[in-house]
Amino acid sequence: MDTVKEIKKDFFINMGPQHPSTHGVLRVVLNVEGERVLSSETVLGYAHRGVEKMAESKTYVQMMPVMDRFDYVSSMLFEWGYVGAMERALGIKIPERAEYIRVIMGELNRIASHLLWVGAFLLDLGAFTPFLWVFDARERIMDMFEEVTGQRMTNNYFRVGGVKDDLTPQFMKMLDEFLKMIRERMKDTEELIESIIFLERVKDIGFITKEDVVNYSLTGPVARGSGVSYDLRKNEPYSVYDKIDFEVPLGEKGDCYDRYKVRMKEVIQSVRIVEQALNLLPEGPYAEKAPKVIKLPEGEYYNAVETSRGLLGVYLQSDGSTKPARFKLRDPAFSNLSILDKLLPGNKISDVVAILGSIDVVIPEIDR
Amino acid sequence: MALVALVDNFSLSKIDVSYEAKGFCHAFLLEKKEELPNIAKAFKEEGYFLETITAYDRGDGLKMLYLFNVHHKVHRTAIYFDISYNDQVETLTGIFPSANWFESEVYDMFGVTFKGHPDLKRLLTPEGMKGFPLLKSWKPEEE
Repeated sequence: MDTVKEIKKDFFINMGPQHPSTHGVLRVVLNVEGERVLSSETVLGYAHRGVEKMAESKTYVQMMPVMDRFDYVSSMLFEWGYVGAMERALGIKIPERAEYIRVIMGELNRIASHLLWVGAFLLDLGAFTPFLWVFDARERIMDMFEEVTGQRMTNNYFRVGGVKDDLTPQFMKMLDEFLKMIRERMKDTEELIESIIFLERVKDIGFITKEDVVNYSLTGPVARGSGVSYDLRKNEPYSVYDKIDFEVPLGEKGDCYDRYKVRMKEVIQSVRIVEQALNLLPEGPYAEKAPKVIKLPEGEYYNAVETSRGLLGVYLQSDGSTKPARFKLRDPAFSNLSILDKLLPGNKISDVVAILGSIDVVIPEIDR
Repeated sequence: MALVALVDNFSLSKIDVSYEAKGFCHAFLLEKKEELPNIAKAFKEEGYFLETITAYDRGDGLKMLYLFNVHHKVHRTAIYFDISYNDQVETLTGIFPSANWFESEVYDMFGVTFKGHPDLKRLLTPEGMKGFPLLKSWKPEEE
């Protein structure tokens, strides 16, 4: 027996930096004994571009397109955070039509992001068909974005004082068609996904407790999957979210399945928000006149919005010039990923992919 | 939390901020930075989480900024304090595990070391990086 013990040794597996399920360049060093993970270490920084330093030499306007390049799957929600911080500083109140356009575009972006996540998550777990189903729906959203903003991704659509362009009749037609099909599509997709194989793989692994949510500063669907009702759209209403009726879906146990379910339900809630915003959409200008050269008054400003991954805080410090003295992002996935090293020990290697996938990370946003 | 109690128990002085203009509800300047862990404990007992830790270069030293937030109300609270370059600050990792990466990032960018941090390392910048890039005095290395 003793000899067996001597042979049985733990060893290290390098997951990443190039790994299909990390969706970007993330490295996780796993210390395993057989199939079991003993401990893990998450290594960041492979996509670090030094944006916070770069911001010191760019003007406020030049930083706008850079905001798209953090979380490239829900870029408009990041623009919203940055534009909102500048509007706070300048004391600009934007026209009501612009607020509703922002809500519509923001929620469509959230749907697109969640759909991409569902597809990629299932792909990680070995199911290919759901990926195609959700991508068909997501592609329609991308087409709508192209119609209005001119770009499918990295839209650069939000402006200080409003948005770049008004919604077009063609967009309205496409949106109408999309809203007609999306509920049915989500129902079908859910039926397709939730087979016994999927449930066995995601249920009862990767538990996150309510205490963990506080300890690790978790936000977004990861926090809500554990039953913590924290959504900035409800808890700290910005824009016109206080005029819109929607629910905050919550999980119960905090396992991977609950996080999946919360995102699926959030898609439906976002659809509800878009429908209401369309009904409430007033006529009028889509942008307020804003200064061409933006100079923020001296001081510091912070603006928090709910992105598809959680609480995004944009911190700007101004010395009165045209360039920010300090630009800092408090990004949701950074904190959400920090719990990974606590979740992995004790799980099998195959579950690592499921747990990492359920957190929903976008690497350029974490590394900045 | 009773903010009055917080101000009374620690060497905090209130800074006037408005949520509409700044995005935080309350801000305090901390005089004795050794009190930080006890302040964090007081926040934790009330159910607050640590939203972020950051810093900025004032030109003659650094200003640290800790943001605390709570789930059930709009109550984002900022704690500021001044330190000199290469100064040491008490870690909060024992109270908020999320401080682990936040503090590593501040170390990586500003060179602030945290006393008692379990694994202080360069988090985002590559190995072999020299200097601390977010200091205003930092210059890129010559080829």
